[in-house]
Amino acid sequence: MFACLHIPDASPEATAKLAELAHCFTPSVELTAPGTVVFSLQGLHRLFGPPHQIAAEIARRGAERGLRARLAIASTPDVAMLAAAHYPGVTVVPRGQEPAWLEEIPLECVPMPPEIRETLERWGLKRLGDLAALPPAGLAERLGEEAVRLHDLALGRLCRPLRLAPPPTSYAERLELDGPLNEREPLVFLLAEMLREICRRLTADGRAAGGITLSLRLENGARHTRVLELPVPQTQVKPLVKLLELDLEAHPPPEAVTTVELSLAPAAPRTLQGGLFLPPSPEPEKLQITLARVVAWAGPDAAGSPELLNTHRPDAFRMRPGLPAKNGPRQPAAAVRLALRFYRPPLPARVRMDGAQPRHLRARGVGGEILEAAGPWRSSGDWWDAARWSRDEWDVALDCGGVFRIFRDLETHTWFVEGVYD
Amino acid sequence: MPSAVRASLLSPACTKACQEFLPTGILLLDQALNGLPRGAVTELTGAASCGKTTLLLAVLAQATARGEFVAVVDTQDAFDPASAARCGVDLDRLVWIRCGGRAELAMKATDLLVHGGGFGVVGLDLAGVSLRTLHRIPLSWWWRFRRAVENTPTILVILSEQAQATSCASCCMEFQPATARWCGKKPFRLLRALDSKILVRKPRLLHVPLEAPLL
Repeated sequence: MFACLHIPDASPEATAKLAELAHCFTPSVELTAPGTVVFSLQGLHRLFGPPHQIAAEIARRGAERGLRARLAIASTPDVAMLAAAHYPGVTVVPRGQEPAWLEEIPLECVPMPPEIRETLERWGLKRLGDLAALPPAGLAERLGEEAVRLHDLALGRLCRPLRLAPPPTSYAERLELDGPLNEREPLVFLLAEMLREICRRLTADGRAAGGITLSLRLENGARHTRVLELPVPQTQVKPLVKLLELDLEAHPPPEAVTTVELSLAPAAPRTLQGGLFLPPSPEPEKLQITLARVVAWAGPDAAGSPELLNTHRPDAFRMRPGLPAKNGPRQPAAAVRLALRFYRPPLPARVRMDGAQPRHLRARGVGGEILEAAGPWRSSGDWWDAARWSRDEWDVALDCGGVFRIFRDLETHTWFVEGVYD
Repeated sequence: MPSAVRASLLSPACTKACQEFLPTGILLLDQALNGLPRGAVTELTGAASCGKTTLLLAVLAQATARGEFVAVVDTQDAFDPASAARCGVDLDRLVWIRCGGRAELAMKATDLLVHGGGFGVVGLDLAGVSLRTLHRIPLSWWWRFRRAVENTPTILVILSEQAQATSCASCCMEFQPATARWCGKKPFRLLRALDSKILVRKPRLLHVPLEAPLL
């Protein structure tokens, strides 16, 4: 059996609501036209009983959603659709009585090619009953195969498979707790269950999670929201639970939790070309958990992959949260170059000058006579910004050993030790 | 298989011969040692400005050039990504852990990385950490690291001012104090390079000169 829900001149929102109502009963739903949804009722008799009880249940759920739609139940999708378009309210067409229910339906309601419609009008046919009375062989001779299909439709014998519409998927879950929850462990347990359900939907749709949004409503009415961006899309529940647990460990909710809302941002699954002779790489899920663990211990920006910024500002970089998925060309190793080790933040220093040359350096843990000095190398930038910088840099070798980079801030006229060459 | 052949194949000498190495990019060092041994701990020690960080970056660059992923556990937050990029380290294949001066966190992070596996090189930078803190690190950590990288392609490189891993390390290099090479006449001087000497203590005693030009 099939059911058809129909709202004349329906808006796209109303059609979406009709589809949502149909998906409550079955995944076999066809969006036939704007305002018309046909769906299968196969197996529903075990749940709700005979067709009129199924119709009553559909009508009840439709009323709950504020839908005022026509409903028809019939043995074929097209009969259900025609009955819903023609008869107001709820219509149940008993099996075997289709021609009797269809004979009153005007031919204008039946979709057909315009040339056939014109011919049938010229013959004086007004209703489906008139068409059903004609001999099928004569119709086929004069109007072709399409006319035979219309004749079968008029007799209620035409059955076709539904063109299924995918159900509207939501990758979010909401859970209202019986009482306020203070502890992290039971909360993580609940989150794991919610994640399992959402990941099942994601996997069924061939998608992966690109990000997690966790919104906790607290006892005092406030919201505690955490957004986690995943550098590598994932579908496995275990790493996602661990990431959420580590994030909650680093950023616990200030009050007891009353409602949990969790949503995953769908993303295309990770694709990586493997190879027998490719060097091994860390498992993204494991690496993400490791980095999240370090971030939970040491704070944000403590772990990730550095990216140099396009500026002349010294020590300008930003941390990316994880390793970018890379399977591209390799960068050749350059010749050996002298490395600099930074002091972060730079060490405030006292420098004694001899004319234009620095002669003595003293800072925390660093100090001595300057044997050699190269500089000053002047640089400045971002003068339009509060974060402007302007400085004179020197490379100095001390008598106690060590070659350092020092600089004088031209804004504050103070000296700093920036790093040591090593 | 004859028992003599089987015995020779299973002997430690054969296992050593089958060991893989990662070149360092420093010709003399690679000629003498073939590079750094994989599946083992390598220790680079020396005072400030001796060239140990330069060697670490050279090794990281060689690993990323082979498509491997590398990690640096930076205890004192001293790592310079710009220097690394200049040495040819592919930053897209580098994980940088900044420990903000906490040696305990550095050890834990290294433990997670080496046990997670998949990295070609993991660098543990303990340079600049006070000797008092270093002496508090239990010896069992180093054995744990050694066990974790054994039979894997990972090289664990430890940078410090004094030898820490000692018997757990398969390769120990001590950097002699470097001399800076300058050019130009005063006052227009320019730092050109650091010239250092590496005293390889393990696997065999030898001296290798190291030249690290600034540009």
